[in-house]
Amino acid sequence: MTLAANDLTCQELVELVTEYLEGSLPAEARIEFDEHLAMCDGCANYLDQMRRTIEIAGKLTEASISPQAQESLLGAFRGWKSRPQP
Amino acid sequence: MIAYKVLRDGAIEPFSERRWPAPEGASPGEWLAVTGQLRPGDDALPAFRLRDLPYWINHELWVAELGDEVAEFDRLVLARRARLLRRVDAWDRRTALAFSEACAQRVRDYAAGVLRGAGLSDEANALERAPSLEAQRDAGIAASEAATAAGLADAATAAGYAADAAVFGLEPQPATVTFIGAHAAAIAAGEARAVEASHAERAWQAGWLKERLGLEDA
Repeated sequence: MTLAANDLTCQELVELVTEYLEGSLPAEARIEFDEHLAMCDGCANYLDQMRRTIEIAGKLTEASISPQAQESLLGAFRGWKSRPQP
Repeated sequence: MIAYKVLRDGAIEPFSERRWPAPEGASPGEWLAVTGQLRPGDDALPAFRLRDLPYWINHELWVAELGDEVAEFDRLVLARRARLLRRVDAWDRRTALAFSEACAQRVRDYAAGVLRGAGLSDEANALERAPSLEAQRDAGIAASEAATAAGLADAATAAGYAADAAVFGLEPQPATVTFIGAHAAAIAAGEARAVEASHAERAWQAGWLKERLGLEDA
């Protein structure tokens, strides 16, 4: 194993952020993730923004969305579902 | 077990944002206790041995006592109970700058060696003569550009590390400079000895902290 393979890049961290926040990263990967955060302010800020977004979005309920916004979102989902897959 | 805690300003743990109770006078801080599994990512209390510190070093450094149940990993230890015993007052902004500068200068020397090996002696000399981190940054950028133009990838990377280490050394962001140092040592050693050289650099960094801060092996 090379040194580069041991160290997480910023791009790899972004790809792993969901597993990190869900607590499903294996132990060694978790340590490497935290180690990267300790030395990379950019990724630490990114993680902080992700946490805040989840926190804010988690407070949204169906009732808190206007009928127009609901209709618009449902339309977007329907359009996405009916789009031909590549 | 006695270990070290690395905290942000205000005795706040990075990532978890947990505030650690600080000692009052001669009395240790209150015990913190958690109930999670002793594995990374669970609700456990992380702490570090001396050799781990270069990876995690932050604004504040504390000596901590860990409860009986401790799990040791490659670069950290986890406990269910822990408390702060005393702050390492010698670790302040001035020392952080000195540490970052010492690490950055080693990156400069590694880069100069790689540049000279690649035939860019003028750039190596200019980098070695840099009298300050600002000058190291500028010489590193110039050398990296020259190496890139000559198609010398390793030399370009090494010189770029010298510039980066200077930039982060000036802030200072010591954990970033130590990371760059480990990579610079690896690239200077060549692929066959890269991991060994990286570990040796981490050991040198821990040794610097031990000597300058009067730390004991934990």
